[in-house]
Amino acid sequence: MLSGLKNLSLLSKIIFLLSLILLFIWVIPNMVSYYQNVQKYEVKAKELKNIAMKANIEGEAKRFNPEDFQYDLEEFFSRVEVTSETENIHQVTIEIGKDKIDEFNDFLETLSLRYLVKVNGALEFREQDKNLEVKMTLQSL
Amino acid sequence: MRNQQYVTITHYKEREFYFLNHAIQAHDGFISKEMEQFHESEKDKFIERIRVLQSQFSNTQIVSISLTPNQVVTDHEDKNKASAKIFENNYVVQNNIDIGNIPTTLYFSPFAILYEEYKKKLDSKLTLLIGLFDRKLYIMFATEDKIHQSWVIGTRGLTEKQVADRVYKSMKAYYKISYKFADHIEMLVTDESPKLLKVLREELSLNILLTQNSIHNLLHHMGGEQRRAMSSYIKSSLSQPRNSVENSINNDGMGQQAPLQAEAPMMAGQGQATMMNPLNLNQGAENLSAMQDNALNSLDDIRLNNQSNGFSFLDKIKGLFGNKVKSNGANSTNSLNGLVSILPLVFVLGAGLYFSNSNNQILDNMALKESQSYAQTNNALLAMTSMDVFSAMGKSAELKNATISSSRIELKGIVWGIEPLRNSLNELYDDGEFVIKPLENFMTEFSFKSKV
Repeated sequence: MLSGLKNLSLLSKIIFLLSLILLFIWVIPNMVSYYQNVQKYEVKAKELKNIAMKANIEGEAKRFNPEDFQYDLEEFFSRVEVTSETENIHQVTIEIGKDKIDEFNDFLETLSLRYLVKVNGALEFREQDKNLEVKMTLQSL
Repeated sequence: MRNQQYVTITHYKEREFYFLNHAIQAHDGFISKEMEQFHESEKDKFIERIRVLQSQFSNTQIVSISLTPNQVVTDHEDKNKASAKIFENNYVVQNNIDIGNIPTTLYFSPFAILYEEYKKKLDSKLTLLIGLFDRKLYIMFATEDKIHQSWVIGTRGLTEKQVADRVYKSMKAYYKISYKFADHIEMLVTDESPKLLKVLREELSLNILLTQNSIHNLLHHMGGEQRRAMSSYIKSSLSQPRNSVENSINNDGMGQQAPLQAEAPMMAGQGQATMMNPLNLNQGAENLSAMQDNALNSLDDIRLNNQSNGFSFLDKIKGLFGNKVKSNGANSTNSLNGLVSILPLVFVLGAGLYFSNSNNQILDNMALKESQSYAQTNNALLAMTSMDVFSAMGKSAELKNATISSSRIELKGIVWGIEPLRNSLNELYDDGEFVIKPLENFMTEFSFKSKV
């Protein structure tokens, strides 16, 4: 190999050496890291998929959109308000009948499997006209 | 139609270049043509050019020089090795001549060339003959009848001053061996380096006589005359017997293409030096032998040594990057090489960018999945806490306000069954603070705080 390298011109040798350096300090570490991360990603994705399947949720979680989210929730709860404080922070108020608390808990349990959001802070429950009003802050992922 | 003139085609390799020349041999000397140069990568073109020259002239000898540093001058011929006779009883011996596909009919050793150059000047006084060929010093102490001592010293990577210093050191080393200084010093320099000549003149004694001639001219001279060629060309153990060349030359008068086909040694390009053991032909007193050993040891630092000692790794690296482009032909080849060599760089850059981007992308996706997984766990815990709290209250209480997070709960409401509620909540959170407060309407308010 060394004799082959010797046959090359100085410029070719420099380029060849540069290629080798880049290969070893940049390409190979990136390649190794990439394949390791792909494996980790697949494990995590499969884990979430299994949880979603147990909850009878099909498909990937959706990007959070306030309008769509409100529209979807109004199907299950009597009143839903979504107020976006910032692009990623949304204040959500849901009014549920006291007998519907189990449905709310089910909804909460699978929220992040349906939408790419997380609950920031605490849930605030307040009695409101014989119903329960729940306030929570959602943050888009 | 083939030309009937006798032509010597000379070639040798220095660093990564083949140098080719041919000359028309005449009675009063030779007429040299323009030198041609080929990069190593143009070897096929180089060989083809030799073939063309061969075909143009009917009487040719292809002459080359063996620049291997492991040539040893001995006083006997070794039939198993490549050897050339110089002087009456001395032979230059080297292990072999690399047989390859570069057509060559006559090889000459630098020692033979030195002898040929200076034989008429030799007499009974000791003369130091030094030849600088391809950055190697071929040194021999000779009188008219024999060589007394010889060795090869590398000068690769040295400055002109360091080269001069090595010549001087070799002279001193010989003095340590024989307690003799050469009466006369001749030096043949084949590098066209005015600076080297100047430095040699300045650093060494004014008595040193410098001659400069090109390897091609020396080879044309060596191969130009039948007797001269026959007397000192290197006969390889793998080559044709001596008389085949002799006959070839004899049959054609000035010389005809000999059937010998051997590859010229590629020492210059290979740049690998092996040790040449200095020859001591003085078979004198025993104490001289001991002194020689001591003196030869003192040459260790300058003598071309074996591969492991002679060239450090740094030298090899320098060798890789020390080559210079010399000709337009080589330039075009190197440009092509440069273009070709960009391919790996392009490939590496492409692969690097691809994996870098892909890796960043997968890292982003993985971070999203991690966040989603964390959020899912947190939400599930919140839902569980909420479910537990509402289950604990059951029909014993009615919730007015509640704050439920993954770290704490705070409840406030109306209680009807104080003890059942307290027990239920304490079952869930045993360190909680359960407080009841009677209201004016005979109802009881409760509050509960606890860490989760």
